[in-house]
Amino acid sequence: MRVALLTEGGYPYAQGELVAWCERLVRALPGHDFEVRALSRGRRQARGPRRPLPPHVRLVRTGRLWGPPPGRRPSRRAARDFGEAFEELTAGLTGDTGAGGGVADRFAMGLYALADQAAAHGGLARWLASDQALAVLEAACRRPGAPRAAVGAGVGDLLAVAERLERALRPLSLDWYAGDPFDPGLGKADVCHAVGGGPAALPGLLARHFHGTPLLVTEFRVRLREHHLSALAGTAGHAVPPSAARAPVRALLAGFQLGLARAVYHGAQLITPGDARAGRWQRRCGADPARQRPVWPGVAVGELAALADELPAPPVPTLVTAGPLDEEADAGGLLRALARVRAAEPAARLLALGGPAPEPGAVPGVRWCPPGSVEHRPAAGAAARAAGWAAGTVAVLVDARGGFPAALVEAMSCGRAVVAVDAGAAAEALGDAGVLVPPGDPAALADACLALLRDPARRARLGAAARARALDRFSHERGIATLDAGYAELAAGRAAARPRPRWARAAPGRRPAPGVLAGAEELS
Amino acid sequence: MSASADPVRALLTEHRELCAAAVDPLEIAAGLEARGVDEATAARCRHRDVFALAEELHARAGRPAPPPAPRPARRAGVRLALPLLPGALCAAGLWLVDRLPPEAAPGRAALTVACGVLTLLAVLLVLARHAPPGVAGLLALPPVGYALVGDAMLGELLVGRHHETGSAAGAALLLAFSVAPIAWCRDAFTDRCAALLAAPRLREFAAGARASLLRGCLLLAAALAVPPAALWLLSPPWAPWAGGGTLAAAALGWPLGLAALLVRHGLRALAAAGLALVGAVELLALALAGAGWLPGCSALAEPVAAPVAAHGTAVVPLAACAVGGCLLLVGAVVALPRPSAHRALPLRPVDGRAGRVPGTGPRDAPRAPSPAAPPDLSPDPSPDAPPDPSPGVSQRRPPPRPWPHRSHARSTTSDDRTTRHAGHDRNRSPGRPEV
Repeated sequence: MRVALLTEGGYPYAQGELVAWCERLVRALPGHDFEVRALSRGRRQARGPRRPLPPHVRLVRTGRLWGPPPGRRPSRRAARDFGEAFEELTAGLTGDTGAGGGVADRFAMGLYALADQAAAHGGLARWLASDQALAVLEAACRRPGAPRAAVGAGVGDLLAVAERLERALRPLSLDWYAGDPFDPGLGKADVCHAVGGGPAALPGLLARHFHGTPLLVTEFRVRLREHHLSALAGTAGHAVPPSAARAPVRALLAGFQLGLARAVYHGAQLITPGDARAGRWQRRCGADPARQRPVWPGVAVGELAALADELPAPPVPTLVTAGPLDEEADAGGLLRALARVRAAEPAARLLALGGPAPEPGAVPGVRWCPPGSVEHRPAAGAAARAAGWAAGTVAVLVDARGGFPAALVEAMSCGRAVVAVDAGAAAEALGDAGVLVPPGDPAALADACLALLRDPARRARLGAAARARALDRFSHERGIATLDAGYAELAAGRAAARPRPRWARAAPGRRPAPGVLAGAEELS
Repeated sequence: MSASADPVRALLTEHRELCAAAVDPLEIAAGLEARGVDEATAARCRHRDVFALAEELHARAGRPAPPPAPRPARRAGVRLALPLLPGALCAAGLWLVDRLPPEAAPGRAALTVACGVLTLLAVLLVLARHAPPGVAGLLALPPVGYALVGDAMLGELLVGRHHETGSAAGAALLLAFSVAPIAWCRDAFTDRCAALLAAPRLREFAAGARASLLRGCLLLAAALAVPPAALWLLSPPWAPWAGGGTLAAAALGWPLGLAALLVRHGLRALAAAGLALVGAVELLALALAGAGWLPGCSALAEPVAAPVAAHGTAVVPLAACAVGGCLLLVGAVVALPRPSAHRALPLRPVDGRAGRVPGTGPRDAPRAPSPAAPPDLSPDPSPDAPPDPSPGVSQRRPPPRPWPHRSHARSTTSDDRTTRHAGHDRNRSPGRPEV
């Protein structure tokens, strides 16, 4: 089977998002032919080192989402065609429901029309950076039904939006779809697997539009949510250029991200959200629950379990938690609970894994705990983390930040009895293999910890149950097996939908010679 | 009805800034989730999920009048004085060279070279600080070189009577002082365009930019006449006024100024083409004059020799500057009023359209260490975060919050008197299973 792995700002570049996860996935499935198509996010990433590729990665193509727009000025006719398609897309962007259908339909129709025109004219080139695109955007802001914030858009806002749209829509201009002597194209792939929504899924969406290639989207952190979070950080002045922090820019870009997310979730045959919250966001944007399969980011459960088994039990009652201890992680509540535990068990101490020690006074509860009762230990790498978790009698997880509770699953893998605050995905991850306490209740937390510290039998029972649950659900192997099954399902569905031509049936299972495709790596 | 009976109002009060700044209900939902509001809180507010709660918050949040964005304090003194630096350096160098006795020839040469290098560096500092000129900077060198020594070369090359040529010192002084009006006019145009970027209409922007460009060009032409006039009036002995040759050097400021304007707005190719045209005309004149010495080719020098005989050697650089200047002027008038030529400019809000929350502007808030921020669609993303060993561990950090705030989920109880905003049930759909 030929799987096209579509990434953005990650694998095969050594620095970026989800590099380790993608590499694990590719190496774990040597039976498939992979082609990696990566979009880079910056010059340093594109020029930086790449991960070594296993031999069953037959092809690597790259495109860039940074730098000046490639290509020349398009011809007059091409510009007119682009303008019509872009008008449709912006109608969906600003919430204008046309006569034909809803907003999402107009966005998707505009997107596919723009892709068709780009394919017909050899790429969008600089058109999205031109005055004509700006005029279309300006008209879109004045349409009835446009977001309130977008109505006040000035020329500078339109420029900022057009610049970002130009970058985000660069996959439309790539030559990944049709195929050439060195690249069979995405049409020849059996499955497109996009790691992340947004620009990474755009090539997969277009491959489906042009050739019917099935699309599988893996999303651990929902792109739309991340966009909104970074926009919020921008209003608070963090890491976002001031031009992007203005309300009209944010409104238009939010509309674009929402439209793109809807198109991706509508076009993908299979969506694998990383946790329940990601699943909720996806369904909110129109994902069909029947097409959703949870794939957790995963933890090296087996490795951690084996490492933790070799270590002795701690001599004194020890609570172990994941650092850093700060206000965000609700450390104040944890330290209050520790003070209560120490009132009953004076030898008890707290071990915080990873992260720096908090500054004095940063956490209000620190003054309640005598010095020496809290130990901080840096823990990088599987061995150190396993040793850290094994050095605790009971694991306490209070971090209510959302997302995949990796620290909780690590503690479960190491066979520790877990007391967790019932927030985020903790209940979902822990199930009945641990103790859940309500958030913001140090007394309940302390009681649960004390009960476990004094009951070794229950501790052992819960620890074993937690490890079994982690092995069953949250191991890397589990997620990879789910994805592999998804590949097979999608490829089978495609084969059933479109019978292969006679020449292909004559030589079943014939693979292209490895040298031909492996030599076609293109550095763009 | 007390405020505490309405849990949504309590939430609204607690997250007022978030709700007021949000442009989309989903933005509120993301912010609420990042701050620990979960499905349980939404249920307490009688909402199916966080999204429905966020929609109500979005509808109920007041929109504060956007505050007038603070104009960044500009160092007007530096911006006005810095362009005079090349002229000052050049004048000081020429004056020093003139003071040295004639027998100290090596010292004079060294001083001249040092003065030239320093002046060139100052010109780069003034003109190339914001926009690297690239190949246009290189192509500016032939016309400048011709302005210094070209007249003398042409006079030597032409067969016939000895032509009066200008002095290199005066030309250099004029060129160095021309940097000041060029930089001032360029900055004035750039500032005006940055202010115009807040205009709501593209047409309005284009009209304003075109008027501003024409004003800037007139101003440049007028200001470029000041240094030669001053030189003519003062006529210092170390940089004498020498008629047409010096005037030609001053005229070179026109294409150079337009090229600087184009380079500042990213139109480097156009600027390079104009400067290349100037240089090409001048070099062609030199080449033709040189070719006149070849046996049987004296007719080749005739197109150059005839106007030079009539009007002096300055006619060649003046003609070159006129041709190149016309090309650059046409290009600037066509290209610079386009909005797309202004994307490289920093956007400076000049009116109250900014959607920022008061007190949270980029200058007010401390920069949070957020290397895990997703490089979204921002122009300068940071993909150089270390590779995360396990996805999902490096969660994005929400803004810090004091610890007692977490208890709002318990304190905002919902009883029967809880009211909801009337129109917010229409978007609810039947419940779907969790993943």
